[in-house]
Amino acid sequence: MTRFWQGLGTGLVVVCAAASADRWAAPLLAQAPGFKAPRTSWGDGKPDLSGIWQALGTANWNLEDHAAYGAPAAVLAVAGTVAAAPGGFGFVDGPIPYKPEALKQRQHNFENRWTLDPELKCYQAGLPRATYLPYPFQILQSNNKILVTYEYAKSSRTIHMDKKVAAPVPQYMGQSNGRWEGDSLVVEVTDFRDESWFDRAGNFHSDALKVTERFTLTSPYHMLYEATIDDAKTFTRPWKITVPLYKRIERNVQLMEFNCVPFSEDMIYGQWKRR
Amino acid sequence: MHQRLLTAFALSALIAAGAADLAAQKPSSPPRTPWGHPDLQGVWTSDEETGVPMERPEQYKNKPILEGKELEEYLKRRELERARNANFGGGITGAGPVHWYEWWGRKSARTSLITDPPDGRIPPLTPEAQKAEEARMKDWEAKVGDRGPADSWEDRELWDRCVMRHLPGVMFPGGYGNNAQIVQTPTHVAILNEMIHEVRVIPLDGRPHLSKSIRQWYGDSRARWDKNTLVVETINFKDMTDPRMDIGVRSRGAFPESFKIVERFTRMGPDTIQYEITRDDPKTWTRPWTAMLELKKTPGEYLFEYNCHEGNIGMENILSGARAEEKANPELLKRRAVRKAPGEESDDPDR
Amino acid sequence: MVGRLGLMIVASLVLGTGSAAAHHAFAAEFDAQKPVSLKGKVTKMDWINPHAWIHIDVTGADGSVEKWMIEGGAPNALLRRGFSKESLLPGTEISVTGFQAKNGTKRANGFNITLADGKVLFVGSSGIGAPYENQAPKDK
Repeated sequence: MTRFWQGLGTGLVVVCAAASADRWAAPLLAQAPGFKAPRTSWGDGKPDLSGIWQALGTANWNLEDHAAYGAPAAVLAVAGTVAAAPGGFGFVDGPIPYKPEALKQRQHNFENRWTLDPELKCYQAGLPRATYLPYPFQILQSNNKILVTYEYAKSSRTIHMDKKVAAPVPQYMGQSNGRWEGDSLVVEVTDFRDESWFDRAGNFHSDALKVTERFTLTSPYHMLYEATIDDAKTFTRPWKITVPLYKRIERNVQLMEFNCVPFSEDMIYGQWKRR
Repeated sequence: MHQRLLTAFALSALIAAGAADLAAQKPSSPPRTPWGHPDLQGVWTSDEETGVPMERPEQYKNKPILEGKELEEYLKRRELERARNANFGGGITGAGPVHWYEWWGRKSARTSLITDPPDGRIPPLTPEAQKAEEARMKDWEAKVGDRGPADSWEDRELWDRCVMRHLPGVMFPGGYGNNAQIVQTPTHVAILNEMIHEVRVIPLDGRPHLSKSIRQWYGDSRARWDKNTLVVETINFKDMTDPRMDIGVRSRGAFPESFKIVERFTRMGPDTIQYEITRDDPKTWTRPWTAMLELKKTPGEYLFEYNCHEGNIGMENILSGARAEEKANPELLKRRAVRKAPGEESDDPDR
Repeated sequence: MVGRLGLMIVASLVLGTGSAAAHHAFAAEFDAQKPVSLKGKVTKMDWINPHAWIHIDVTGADGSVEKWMIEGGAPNALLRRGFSKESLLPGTEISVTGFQAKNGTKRANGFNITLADGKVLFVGSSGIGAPYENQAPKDK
């Protein structure tokens, strides 16, 4: 018990120090003291990331610091409070470093987010956004591949661990090749198409995007997800998104079917319907 | 089951190409994952079975497998049928030229995918199912009978809309993209299908099915190992009342609440999985029936992303094209062209 | 409309195995009365599903440029035939015969696509001696 309080005390010190400086300065935030990630059952010595995970907070609404805000009147008239973005602190290491032209594009995206956001159209979300959508995802860690499958739009991606596999063509979910660095899974995701956004606020990227992800278990029920964004066409420098992930612990929890295509057709094709 | 497995194995051993390979396989000792389960992992294709009909044609009544001259003619006829459907020649808009498909040159000697009943035909529908189906048709006709082929996206098939395939249809080969990827862990098996980026994550831990109040397009699956065979049972299917969904009663039964499928995956050799699927609904059919596919390992490492909905420019073209036609010819709004039913042989080869 | 009901009953009795060709009804999308023959320079090859779209600039006799989109096959099938994202780079001259979209836009399905040297694009050999076979320019 004493160790717990000591650990908590240490944790509090770390958190306080971090709060007064950069929130994300301590990379192993909220790590349970003495925690070592459980290993896979077949003895390859690797941490076992398998399970169903989900992000909390407002990263998908807006990656940057923001107070609550609404939506165009026509949207609020139909959806009311559900259409409003809750306030949230940012999940990024400062304002996103857009190039000036790109910042104008972001502004345009934000102003037209209720028609342009690919999430509304049930388009596959790309990465890192698929990780922090308000839907769970499941990691299946096998001996030579790690499959990540997302409830949203029944999207998925295979992380190649046994060998590097090149992308044939650009894809919405990019191409994932991974390796272990200590107890962190590091994944290089490349070859993206350019249509996806990073959040509902219009933050976007070009086809030059490369994402480097780190997955690190920090307790039996928490995983830290870090994604470094590298896109020289859009941003002046690389920048990082950090999102804690929470394990879904309900008994017999499983991903549900969320085939959202039928929910998006009115929006996409409505103008061509016979009247 | 064992008897069926042996029969199926005997049949598959006769399949034209690679017959010698299969005869030498030892299905009783498949490779294993590091945690001791039979290893089914990798990307598998049903390409070789493209063109084999589900049900055995009358002319091959007692011949599950063809050989010699009869096989030669059968294969040639099948290939030319494919070519006719692809409509690469002539001056009409077809379903696209040769390079659009992956179904060329397939040599399976089987005359039906159905292995049980032995006559290769689907068992008859029960009177109850016939009645339910007719009622469903009448109801649909009353609701949408006067609609045009493209008044709305809902008049198009699930294919055109890039909504999804369905279970079990997704496991069966079509024009292209007939690939499935299997990923295993000690507690789950994931089956992914290239078209249309479908994924099933199936628990192995013996947990109960979801409650009956949750019904899904892909139902709800549970799996277990039966010696070296992965057995997957799926129930809780959604109600598919709209015939435009291209899922016939003989594919899904007439009563989704009692429809059940059982799939069996058995590694028969380094490059082959025997896939059997039994459909069972005592309210629809007088007995269960089983189809079998030989799945072959592909050299590919994973499935190509089939981002169908995201790139569905065709749907926009179809709807706006219909509106343009109506504008130019208002007569169309009064008298609709007859829309061919899904799967019906016609000049319009697209199904 | 009895005819329609009859067709639907036929549909329900025909086995829906999901083995359909997975294509749009092209007769619904393109117009058999509007054949097109185009020659242009590729500006972009969009490897999207269900069909790849080739963007070309077609220069008219008067020097004006029309931007056309040509529908191709599914990337998945093309990629497994050995073609790659390098197969049709911007700047490549192609000739296309096909049919224009019913909606009147500058879109057509790419029935026959040939390169400047006459080679037919994307055609591969199926190996059984069918009349439509061609030697494929297979690039990896």
